[in-house]
Amino acid sequence: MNIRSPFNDDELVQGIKDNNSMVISYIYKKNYPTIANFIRLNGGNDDDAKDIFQESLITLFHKVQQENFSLTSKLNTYIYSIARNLWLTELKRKQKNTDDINEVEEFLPNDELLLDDIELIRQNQKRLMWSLEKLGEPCKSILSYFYFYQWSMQEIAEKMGYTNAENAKNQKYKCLLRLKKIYQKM
Amino acid sequence: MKNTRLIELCEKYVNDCLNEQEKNELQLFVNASESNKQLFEENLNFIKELNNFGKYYLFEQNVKQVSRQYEESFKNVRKQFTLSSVIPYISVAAVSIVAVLFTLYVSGWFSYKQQIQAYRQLSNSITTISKNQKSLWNTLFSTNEITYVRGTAFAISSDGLLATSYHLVKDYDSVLVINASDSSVKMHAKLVACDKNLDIAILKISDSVFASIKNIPYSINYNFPVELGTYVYSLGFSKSSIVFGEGSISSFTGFNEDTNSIQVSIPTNPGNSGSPVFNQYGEVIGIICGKNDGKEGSTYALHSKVLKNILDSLSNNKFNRIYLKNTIKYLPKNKQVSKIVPYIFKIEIY
Repeated sequence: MNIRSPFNDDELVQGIKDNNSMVISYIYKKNYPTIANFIRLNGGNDDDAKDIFQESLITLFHKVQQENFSLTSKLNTYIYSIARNLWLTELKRKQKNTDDINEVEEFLPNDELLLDDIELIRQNQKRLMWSLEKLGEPCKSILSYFYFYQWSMQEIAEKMGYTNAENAKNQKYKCLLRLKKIYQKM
Repeated sequence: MKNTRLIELCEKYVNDCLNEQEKNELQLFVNASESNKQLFEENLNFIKELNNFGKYYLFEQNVKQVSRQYEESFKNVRKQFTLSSVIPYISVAAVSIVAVLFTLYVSGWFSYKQQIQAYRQLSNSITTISKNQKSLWNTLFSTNEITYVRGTAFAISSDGLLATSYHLVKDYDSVLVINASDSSVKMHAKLVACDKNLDIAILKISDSVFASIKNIPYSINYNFPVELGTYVYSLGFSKSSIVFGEGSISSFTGFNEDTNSIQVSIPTNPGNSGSPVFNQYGEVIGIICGKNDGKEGSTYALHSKVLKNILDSLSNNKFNRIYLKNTIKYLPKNKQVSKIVPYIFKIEIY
């Protein structure tokens, strides 16, 4: 029996590029069970599955930003291949056996995925994320409102209870310096 | 220069909004020493990285949000089955049951039942047959009290025609079909043809998500020889997952010597109505329509010639003639069954 999908693969890729919640939710529902199954079959638990799947989606987000990106297979296969790759890397990192893997679906070979650059960038990003967590409040909020959510200093001052934008700005630069220190020390 | 001032200038440099005075200040600082220059570049890289990280950060937050929603949707389902949600009703139920049992006892219902049963066992008269018929009827329609009726249907054309029993779909306003291989999708179907007396109905999947049914592996044999002892099997939804049952043709005629149906010795239960009956070549030879509760192993299946008549009446006006190619004729039984299963549908009628 064939079921017509509400999105085709091009629309899904565009949806990921646009960070569209509805598309992400759709992809999550469609792909998570397969990948969770794969990870459970190969020595992982539900938490591992969740982490790997989220990381796969972020990797895919990186991938679709690349200028020469084009889908060489079905999107489902592509996501499965990324997740598979990430889980194998994880297994190797834990020094576990990766010789007899129970495959769930067909997948693309690693040299077609080219994930090494992204892995490097992701490491830095995770480091940055971790530094931000370690920085604590109110610095974390100020920096994320400014750099990630693109709020103006005026809005941040109001939200965080600073008397004026200038104060908030000074505080922001102090926070930025501290963040840089933590980030470089790691 | 203070570090905060430097990082401020660096950020302005990245965003390209330095004024002349600030530009000079930065120039002086950078040119002063090699270590200053290095610090300046370090700051630039860091700020660029932070700026760049924004959209990835937002995406990550979005994914986490979706993940949480996905997990909560499962938690809600589980919640319905916890014990604590049932406890308030237990006491009420216990009191009602005691009251009912007491009333039945006082009114002498239990002794009356015993007499009836003894009577049924001893006699084989017309009354028994009429009682049997009544119980057959009751089995077929006893689902009236619950919210929906469940049955089985099977695909007979690529554009979504399904065959089933008429008594399932009579009097109800919404018909949902669920494929045996993908139970997560419920699709609406509508009645396109039926014959009340023969108890057969043709449904068509009318849901927007439905595209087509490809490569139906079995064919329909409209005039097979009815021979006693011919091996037959059936696939149906007598519980929520699919159930296989096998047996033989055990009589030339059906209930009350009805020549439009045959009797088969396949064990069946409510929910099997509408199940296809296959012979050993994977050809549909009938549709299960009912059973006699009073007689063991007597399931009645509608002869496939009835299906032919109703399909012919359809092909005259709306649909093309239905032609199925049998691709499983010489496969072993278990392989046949696994090929057939994706084309059997559970139907729920509300």
